[in-house]
Amino acid sequence: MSLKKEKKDIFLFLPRKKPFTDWAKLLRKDFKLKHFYKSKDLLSALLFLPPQVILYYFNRDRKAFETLLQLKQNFNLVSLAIILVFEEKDLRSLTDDRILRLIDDLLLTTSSPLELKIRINLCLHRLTRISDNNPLTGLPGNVSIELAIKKALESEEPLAIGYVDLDNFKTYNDLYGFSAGDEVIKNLARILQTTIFEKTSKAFLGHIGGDDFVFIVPLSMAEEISKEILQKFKALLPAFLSEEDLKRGYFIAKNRQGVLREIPLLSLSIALVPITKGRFKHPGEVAARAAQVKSVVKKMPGSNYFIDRRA
Amino acid sequence: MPDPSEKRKEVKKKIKKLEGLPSLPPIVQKLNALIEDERSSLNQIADLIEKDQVITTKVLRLANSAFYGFPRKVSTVQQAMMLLGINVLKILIMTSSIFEIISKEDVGLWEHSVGVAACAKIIAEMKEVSDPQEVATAGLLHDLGKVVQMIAFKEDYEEVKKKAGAGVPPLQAELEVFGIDHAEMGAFLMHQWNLPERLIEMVNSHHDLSRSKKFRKESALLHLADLLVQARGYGETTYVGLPPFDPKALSILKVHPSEIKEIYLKLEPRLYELKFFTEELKREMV
Repeated sequence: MSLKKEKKDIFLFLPRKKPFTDWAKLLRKDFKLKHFYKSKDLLSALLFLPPQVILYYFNRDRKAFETLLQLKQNFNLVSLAIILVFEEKDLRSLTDDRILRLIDDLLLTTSSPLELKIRINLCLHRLTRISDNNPLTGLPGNVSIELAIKKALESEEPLAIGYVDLDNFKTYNDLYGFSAGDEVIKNLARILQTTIFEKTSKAFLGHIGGDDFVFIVPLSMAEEISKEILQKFKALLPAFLSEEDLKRGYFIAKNRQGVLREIPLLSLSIALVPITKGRFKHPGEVAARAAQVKSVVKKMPGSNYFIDRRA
Repeated sequence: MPDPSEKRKEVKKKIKKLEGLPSLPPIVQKLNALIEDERSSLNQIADLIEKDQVITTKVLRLANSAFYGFPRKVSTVQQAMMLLGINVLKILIMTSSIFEIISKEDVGLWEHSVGVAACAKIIAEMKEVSDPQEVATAGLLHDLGKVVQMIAFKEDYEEVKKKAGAGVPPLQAELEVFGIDHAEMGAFLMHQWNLPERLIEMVNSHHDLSRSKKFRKESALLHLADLLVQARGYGETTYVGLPPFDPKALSILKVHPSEIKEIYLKLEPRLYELKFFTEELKREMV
């Protein structure tokens, strides 16, 4: 294997004129550039071969830009840096907070090629430095989870916090290997992401680590969402099990004492804790309650959810 | 005459660079409408996607790309949709390109493909082959190589049709013109796009069972389904008569000739349902 650093990919969605042609000339030395002039081509290429950086001329196609933001959100493309390119006079129209949350930097068309290059490198470094997101799934990690739970405790609208984890995941890892285990985790993250955010945009999803996830959704939807997650997980599970294990219906593996035993197949547990204002004061209390609920779900065979109905 | 082995290299090189394939305009329009309608269910959408080999390939390619999931696992549209979600699917369909010009007889290939998908599924269920939906997907995609010929090698494709019209067996005509047949072309493209191994092997060996190694039963199944749909006279391919049939398929599958009748009895109502769809498709294409 060669140790030479591979050139990073940059997609350019910029008009074919100065100063952009000068920009490209300089960037070409350090990056692999791909030019796009039709938004459809850009989006399609983004789906199949996402680059590290996109330079997007804001005035060009606002609708496609909206789709680009959606894509970044939907796929947790945290490592995709979006740099918006602006005419100075258009800065006034940049009032949408959502745009600011999803883009990584701004550049004026008056920037010099050198400034551009430095900004791009800065962007790339920043992305690797400050991410709280889980590297495997791209989902927010513990710092963001704690913040989200704190915010949820103050919410006027009744919410539910869902704790998701896999049963017998350790056995799966032992039998199939870590990379197969990662595969399951990544796909579980996709199921959670698509199911939750298709139902509501007022939701949060985080990855605590390993096979533990947390989501926060409106209480009124919590059970419906949990049911759908479980159903999708069951439908997809056979893709991750060997035909042998599937037919048999359980794993055969050594337990802690080193004795071969029958161990149930992978399943999913969701513990739901309703949050109404004033019920909990501290995220730690929620976690403690969740642990109790979880022990109930874990005792049920197969994939299940359980909602804590105590006052 | 060009050297077929040189041509073969050239064809493979061109397929490697292929960024995507266009779909039939009416299917893309219908999908757009279905996706915009909040009342439509995931199943309805999957049902429609499974009638177009190009969009199906696209959906599977995305769900199997190393960037989003893990490669070579997801083999049905339903599974892929669970992972991708409706929003991403929307973008995927929005960015689908459509055929500029396609002749009416070429639409017959779509008809043939959905027919083979239906037939393959029926045999898989009868013979208890695992994952009938995946087998159906292979049925839908089995002639993907022909779509590639139509799109990326237009002139050569015409040449194949001319030769076949003059009496050269179509597979031989393909070998003479391309140095590679449509089965291998389709499989090669599916390999480039990280699709699951089982699908690729079935497609690759659907005219030549000796190409199957790990999935002999599935390959024999597709070989038989292709013949049965062709013999029934559903859709159109470059074959005027029947494609060559390897009787080993029957023994590998343990299909008794008397069971063929049973397959046809189950297939007929499915083809009848599909006919409504494909007829509408043909009307809208012209």
